[in-house]
Amino acid sequence: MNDILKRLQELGLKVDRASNLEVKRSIGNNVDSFIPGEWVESNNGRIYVVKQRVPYGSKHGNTTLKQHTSVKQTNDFWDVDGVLDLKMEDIVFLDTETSSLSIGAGALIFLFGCCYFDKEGLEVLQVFIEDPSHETLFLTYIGNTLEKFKCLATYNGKSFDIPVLRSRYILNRIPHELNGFLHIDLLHISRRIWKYDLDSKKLSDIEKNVLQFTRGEEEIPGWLVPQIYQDFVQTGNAEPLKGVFYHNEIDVVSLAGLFLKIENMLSSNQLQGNEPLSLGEIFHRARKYELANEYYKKALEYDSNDVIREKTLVNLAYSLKKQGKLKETCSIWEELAQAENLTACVELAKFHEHKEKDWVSALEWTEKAILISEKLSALRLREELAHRKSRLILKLGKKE
Amino acid sequence: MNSNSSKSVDIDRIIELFKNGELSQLVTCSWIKNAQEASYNGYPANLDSSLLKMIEKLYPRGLFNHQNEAVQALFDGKNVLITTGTSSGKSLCYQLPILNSVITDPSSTALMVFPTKALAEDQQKKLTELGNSLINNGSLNLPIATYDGDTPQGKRISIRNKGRILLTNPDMLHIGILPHHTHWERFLNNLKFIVFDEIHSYRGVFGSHFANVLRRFKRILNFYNSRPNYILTSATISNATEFAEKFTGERFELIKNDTSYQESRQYFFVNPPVVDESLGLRRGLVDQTLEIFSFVISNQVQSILFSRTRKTVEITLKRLRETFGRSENDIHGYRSGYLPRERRSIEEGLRSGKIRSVVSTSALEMGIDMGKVDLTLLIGYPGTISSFYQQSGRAGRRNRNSLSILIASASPMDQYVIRHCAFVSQGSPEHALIDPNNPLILMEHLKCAAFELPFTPKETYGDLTRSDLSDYLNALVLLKHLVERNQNYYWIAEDYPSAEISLRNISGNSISLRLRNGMESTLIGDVDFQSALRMAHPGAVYIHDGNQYLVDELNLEDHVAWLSPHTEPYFTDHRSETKISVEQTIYEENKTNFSKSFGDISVNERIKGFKRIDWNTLMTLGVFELEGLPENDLHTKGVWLTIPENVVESLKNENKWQNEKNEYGSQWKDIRVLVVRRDNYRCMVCGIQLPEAQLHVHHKIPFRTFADPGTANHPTNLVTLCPACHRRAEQNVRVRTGLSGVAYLVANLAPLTLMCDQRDIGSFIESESDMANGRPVIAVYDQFPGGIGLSAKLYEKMEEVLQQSLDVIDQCGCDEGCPSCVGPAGENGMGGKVFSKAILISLLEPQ
Repeated sequence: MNDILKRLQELGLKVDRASNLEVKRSIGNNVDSFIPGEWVESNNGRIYVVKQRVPYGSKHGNTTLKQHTSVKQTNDFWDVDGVLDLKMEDIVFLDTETSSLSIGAGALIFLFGCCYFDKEGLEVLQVFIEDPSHETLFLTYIGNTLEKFKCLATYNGKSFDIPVLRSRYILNRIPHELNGFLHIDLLHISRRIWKYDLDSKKLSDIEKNVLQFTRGEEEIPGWLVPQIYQDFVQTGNAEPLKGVFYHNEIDVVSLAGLFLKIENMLSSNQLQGNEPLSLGEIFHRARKYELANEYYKKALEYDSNDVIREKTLVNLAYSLKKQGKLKETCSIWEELAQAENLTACVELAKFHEHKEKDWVSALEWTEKAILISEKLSALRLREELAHRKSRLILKLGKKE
Repeated sequence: MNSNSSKSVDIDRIIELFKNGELSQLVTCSWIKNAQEASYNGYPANLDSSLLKMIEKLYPRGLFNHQNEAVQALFDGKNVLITTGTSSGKSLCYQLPILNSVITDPSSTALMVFPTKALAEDQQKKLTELGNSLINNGSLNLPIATYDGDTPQGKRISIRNKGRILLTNPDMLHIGILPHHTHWERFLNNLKFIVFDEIHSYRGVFGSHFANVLRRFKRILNFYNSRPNYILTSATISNATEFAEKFTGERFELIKNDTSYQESRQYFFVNPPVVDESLGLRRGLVDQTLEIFSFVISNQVQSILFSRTRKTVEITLKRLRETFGRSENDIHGYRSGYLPRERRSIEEGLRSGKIRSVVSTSALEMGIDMGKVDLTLLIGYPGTISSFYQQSGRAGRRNRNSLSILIASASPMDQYVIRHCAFVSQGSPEHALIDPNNPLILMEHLKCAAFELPFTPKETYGDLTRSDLSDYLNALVLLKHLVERNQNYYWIAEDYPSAEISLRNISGNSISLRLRNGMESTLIGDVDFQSALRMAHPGAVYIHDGNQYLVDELNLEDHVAWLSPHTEPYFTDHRSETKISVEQTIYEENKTNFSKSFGDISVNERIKGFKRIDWNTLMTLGVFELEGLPENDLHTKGVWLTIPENVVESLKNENKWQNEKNEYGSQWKDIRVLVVRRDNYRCMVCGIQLPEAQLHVHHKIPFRTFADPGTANHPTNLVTLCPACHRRAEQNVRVRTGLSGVAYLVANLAPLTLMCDQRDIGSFIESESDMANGRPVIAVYDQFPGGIGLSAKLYEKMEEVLQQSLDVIDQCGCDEGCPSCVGPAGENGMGGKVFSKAILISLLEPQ
């Protein structure tokens, strides 16, 4: 054993991996023995490139891969994220596997996976490095691959994959164009679409519940990936990496599948569960009130519980209010007020006070709101209401 | 600035009390620092015009000489170290060049690191004010931001992308910035200035860690091709430049001539009077404080009282309020733990004069701008000269006298300082010490460094040789943190190494102290493993925040000590057996009467039992054995003195001790016979068999240290010896007593020179030591594995510390030793004082 290590142990360094400090490197069973692909070599090292095809017509879970032209609805939807007028061929779906789950300069990307549509179907491309010394070639190759596209599609790539990739370029002093891409982060989009329908928005759960796809036995969970790679770097045995390649491949294919699923949903308008409400909220937040109203109204046609129905109505009323459609807004508030909805009463009080200058009605609605708020122990609102009440009484007094 | 009701006559009246009045008898020494007029020297050349306009307005008389000097040196591209006094306008020395640079170069950035959050906050406020006055001058909006653990996530990205002047602390630099340096690409690419404020606070373990953070930082700066200038500030310490250079690996231009205006200040050192002559007991600190404070109150003088711990602040505050009432003479407490809002209002109250007195920890010492008061009262020496001046510097107003009083505690350190004004008034003998190459610390940071950037074949790190560096890197390869390819070392592990290091500790496992509460339990605190064996062994009384607990169980497997409340009037003291062996002697020097050595040592400690000691009488109530506690091995650096046999012999023969006859109690005769019979009429050392009357019965732990003869005369404490062996045993006890007195003093006084805590060093004595071929040894060592530079410096300074030790003994009024000099009469018996003194005199005999 190394002298320094001995000295450090004397000083109290805990060496928990001391039992197998000496690792025997096995030779010969590299990735090429398990995964069909080819080595690409240069002065800057070598990378292993794996290409696979998924032809149009094949199924990924319940979704059929097919060529697709975007329609107005879908364009409106992606526009919310600043992505407009894209052809499917402009998008590259990508996912990276790293040596560490924490972000930081020490997290290495060792496997880059992506897929994209072309004339014949989906092409899946994976690029792998055996260790960090080959990173320059790796990053150059990835850069050249991405260059052909306009838009990145990822799952949590805004917070993870892209910052890590950017960091790798900086560390290797290689110029990059990562800031020039449009970016669809399907995690953020899934969170919004299935806000009311799914508890977990992890890709594996979305896959199961939305795409109804089940992974094969080769699958290994993402959290195991760093450990498997480390073992490979230490021992040279690539066999366990098969599972990592599989995991990465399914991740990117599922991204493409998920994208198609969302496009289908929008263009066919076949929505399930609370998807219409969520879509309404997505457009509402993007200030596309016309579209928002459309989806809210669709949501009201669906069977749903009272809470969701009330929420939808409140949203719809606010969206209409933003458009200045006060009459329609008020009739919804009135409908809601019948069901003792506090927001509705407050809004009606505001409407009658400020728009109609009808202080008597305003006072009535305020008093009703106060009654409701007392049951709900909405303390701050109650103070506001009390304030409104005294102001209205003052106004009424002046008038008389 | 201060609207204040106290008049200059009031403060003069108090000064008179100390000079010639009622309090003059307590004064051990005093001196006056005369007011000094400022020397101005215009404004720096080449300053941006808007900036110049602003400072002309703010400082119409120009900048101080030293400020101009510092700014000019920075403009000339030099690194600058500023050690001028408190409130001498040090921060303007870096604010100006930084503001100038961010104004004239639209991309340039600057980093400022402060040891505490409060300092960073204060600086942010001042900088923002300066920046704002620039904006009013039609200049630009400067993104000045604090980036620390409290910065909201949402704000961090914008700070990274837009920040121009960044304020942070060492911990955040270590854990939040360096490991993510790629996110700071713009900031680091354009970095022109780095400020490290108050670098004297970066010493010991913290400093050694931080020096490594800096080494990592410099690798990263190198990667981005940035060559910023460094601006460091420090309190006056004797090795400031050397320390700055060791700390940063850069050369510095020293700016030390303080040309700012300084108030006149009178210093008085006060020693509470002795209340028990023979035991050397002095009046308590708080009582003495109350006496002095009564004059402060009656003269309506605004004051700040500095106390050493948060707990003593509260105790002092309570007594002051009880004694003086609180309504009209509003007395406030101030310490960390108070809400920021409370603190701001107290600072404001001091500024406006509404608050008359504040009792504070060192929290009020640095940075915070709160105006000045007439009088500061330091309750106990604050440990370092720089703290002493920071705290005293809170007193002082233009055109009138101010007063700073130091009251000594009973510790040998305070008792030394209180009689040696020159120690603080003339040039600092303090050394800030670090050892960035401590192997454990180094290893942790090399992990972080490799995480941040791979090590390339030709790279070096700090002052490590490439071959040393490679050894460490290869060790990290063996530990599977790194992989090596073509002599490049890459991080490959899964972890985030900086998260595993706390800069303020050497990492290790700690034991949590939990109070049982029926089925539940409450966490009282944590102690490190070594301390747990000493302080939290079964049966120990553990004192935390003034509350006492009894340790029921120490479970080292689960890392927990179980406590229950303790109400009995005793505390415990562990008894340990320590063995030291030398692993490697690095330096050695032979003096006339001793030799001193420095090197790698290993300290093996076994806790073998403990004593219960009465709170009131400090007498031993009982002695208990402990079994089964693991031994603890500390490999560290130490310095040891070897005392030649002839010195010991001459001391033994000189009969330098008094020994009164003890009255062993009415049953002594019977006990004696029992013990001799038990030991089979044999001397238990040499084995000789003698008639009963010729044999002696010896107390292993001296009789006089026990409260009750029954415990002292318990057979377990008694042993049969022949007269010759008894004499040797007694002599050995006396040698040990003398040695331990010297060790006690050295360990208590060395922190004055080493700027460390007393608990950072350990001491050890042995009258027949294997370290020195059976001769007596006194050893002092770093309490950190691998050492942290303390004993290395003590090796150089040993003679000075021995001289200080002798001074303390000479000036202590007690008879036979007390906690203020050679330590309480311990298990080695009485007479320590005279014997320790004899040893010190012979050691210090001129060559």
